[in-house]
Amino acid sequence: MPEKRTAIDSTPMVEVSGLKKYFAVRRKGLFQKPGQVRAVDGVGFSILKGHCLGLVGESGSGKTTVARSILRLIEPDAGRISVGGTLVSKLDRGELRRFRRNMQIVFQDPFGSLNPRMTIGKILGEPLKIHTSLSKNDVRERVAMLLDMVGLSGEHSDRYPHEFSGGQRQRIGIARAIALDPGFIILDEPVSALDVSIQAQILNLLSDLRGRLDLTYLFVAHDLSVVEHISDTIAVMYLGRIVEESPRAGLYRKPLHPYTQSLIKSIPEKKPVKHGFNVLRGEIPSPENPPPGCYFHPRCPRVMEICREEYPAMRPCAGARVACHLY
Amino acid sequence: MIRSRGYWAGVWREFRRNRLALSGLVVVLALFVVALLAPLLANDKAYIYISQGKAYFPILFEYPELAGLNFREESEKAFVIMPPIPYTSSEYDLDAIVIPPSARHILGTDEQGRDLAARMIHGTRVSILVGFIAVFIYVTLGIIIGALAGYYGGVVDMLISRFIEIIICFPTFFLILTILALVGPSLVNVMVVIGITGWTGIARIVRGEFLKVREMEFVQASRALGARDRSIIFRHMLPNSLAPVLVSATFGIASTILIESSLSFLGFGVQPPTPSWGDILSQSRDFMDFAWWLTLVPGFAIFITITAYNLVGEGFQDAIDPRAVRK
Repeated sequence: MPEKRTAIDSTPMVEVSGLKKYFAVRRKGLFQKPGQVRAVDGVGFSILKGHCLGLVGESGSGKTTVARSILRLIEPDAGRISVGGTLVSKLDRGELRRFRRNMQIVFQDPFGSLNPRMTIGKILGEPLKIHTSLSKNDVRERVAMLLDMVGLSGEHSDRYPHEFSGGQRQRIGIARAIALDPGFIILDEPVSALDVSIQAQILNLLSDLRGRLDLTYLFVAHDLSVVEHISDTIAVMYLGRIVEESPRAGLYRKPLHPYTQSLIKSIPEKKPVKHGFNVLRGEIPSPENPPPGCYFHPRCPRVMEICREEYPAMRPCAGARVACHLY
Repeated sequence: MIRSRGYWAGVWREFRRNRLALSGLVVVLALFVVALLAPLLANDKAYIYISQGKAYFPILFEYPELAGLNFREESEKAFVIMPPIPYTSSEYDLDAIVIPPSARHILGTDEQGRDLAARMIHGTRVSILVGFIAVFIYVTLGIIIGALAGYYGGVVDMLISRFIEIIICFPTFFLILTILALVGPSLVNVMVVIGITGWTGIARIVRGEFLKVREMEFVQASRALGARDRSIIFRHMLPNSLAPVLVSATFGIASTILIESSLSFLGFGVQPPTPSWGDILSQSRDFMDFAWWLTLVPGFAIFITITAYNLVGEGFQDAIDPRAVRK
């Protein structure tokens, strides 16, 4: 694991503030108003150059919407997004298209993220064709080099995606993301669909590439165990909002928000210990109709009177930021 | 290195395993050959005619000195090789009106003394021409309209979908009859009218496929790479939506041939003297009580052709079905 890199730049690579995305929901009856899902409701964070931010949340928390809104694969309704000093949220269509070489994404589903009708060579050649004017030979060489970087070999480039295993396909997806040397890569649950033994290999590859290519990551995951070793900072999302953001060491040692605490306790351990409370009761509420006050209060073991009435503001606390009335 | 198989190679391998579909394909190809070679299979001009030490190829070249010569009657005086059916489709043999199949006319003649076999062979051309061109017109229209609806969604999709629903409210066959009654029956009009009325099914298929494929991660990946709409549609979405379209088009050829036959039967189709199976069938009505060959032969040809195309379509459908296990 790359514990300490030699020179950590302290300028932020990625800055997001006030990010909002509401989805309209089809009305259920003739006389009902169409509903609205606040998938992302005012999310903000920044990632330092060369750092990795782990964005963790249950399904339905809006983490994937955050990821795709930053790349504007989904148009956010509000918010300021800056990547490498460029205001992504203000780019027009053409500018955005050209800027895309600086920010890439690795998807969750290794089977769905590669076009089944294209050979690996064509899949990896696509970004080069769009953004560079390399000759056919140069493209082939670059593709072979990319495959080599992710632990595959150049002779794989004539094959089709269905001839590879899940882990291998994920490596191809990573190769596509690094093809244009972007500074920033979003990893949208890159190992969730893989076997545990393969997960570790892919995580090692990602750490390794981060060091070699000086990459900045936003690592989206649904549990805290996956992001533990790769992230510098971790943000926990609940129902479209960040509830806690904390440096890695602090978060795992002393989680602040009761939701984070229960997430940490739900990480499987080698020696199970008895927790006072560990299992989260109930389901994540519908984002179409969030509970009043703190969204987490119906499931919170330490709920207070104020939690039912007022959504807590984000406050700094012990080197972290947390949105909870306890602090 | 292992030879890579593309998608269509896999489909063909699967298709080949289906005996019935394969025999359908053989019939379809045979009909093609017959249509292509019709003037060589049924003609009153000899392949080779040798007279007075000179060799002629009347079927290929014009010889002024042989004008008006009946090659069938020359076989006693000279060396003649005739085509298998030594009559054209519009030649009147006034000595043989409505005679049953015999050595002279192997499928018999009609009420004007025309050789039925020759007319059937030349009629194949009309069937195939109408089948393919009309289907080509409506598949092209359907893909364009369906792709617009599926890719852009929203208002565009809504307008196109409603328009399709309006069109399919009209019974297609009567719509075709009505338009043909207005523009006048002819081979070209039949093809165009079937073409512009038949696209709705294809458009719906393409729209559905596009809506499905649009959300797939490889399309999102391509967008994240900065690919243009045109490239996303043609390189990623269309190739992954085409298989069900081609299946539907195969069935479409069968029903188009049937529509053409029905139109010709009613007198709205291809006009005499161009031979068409439907037209032959239509003329047989007056002699149905004794001239069984005039009804049976074209009826059987239509039946076999439709069945063959449908078998190919079904085999094709099974071969591309992702639920079918690939071994």
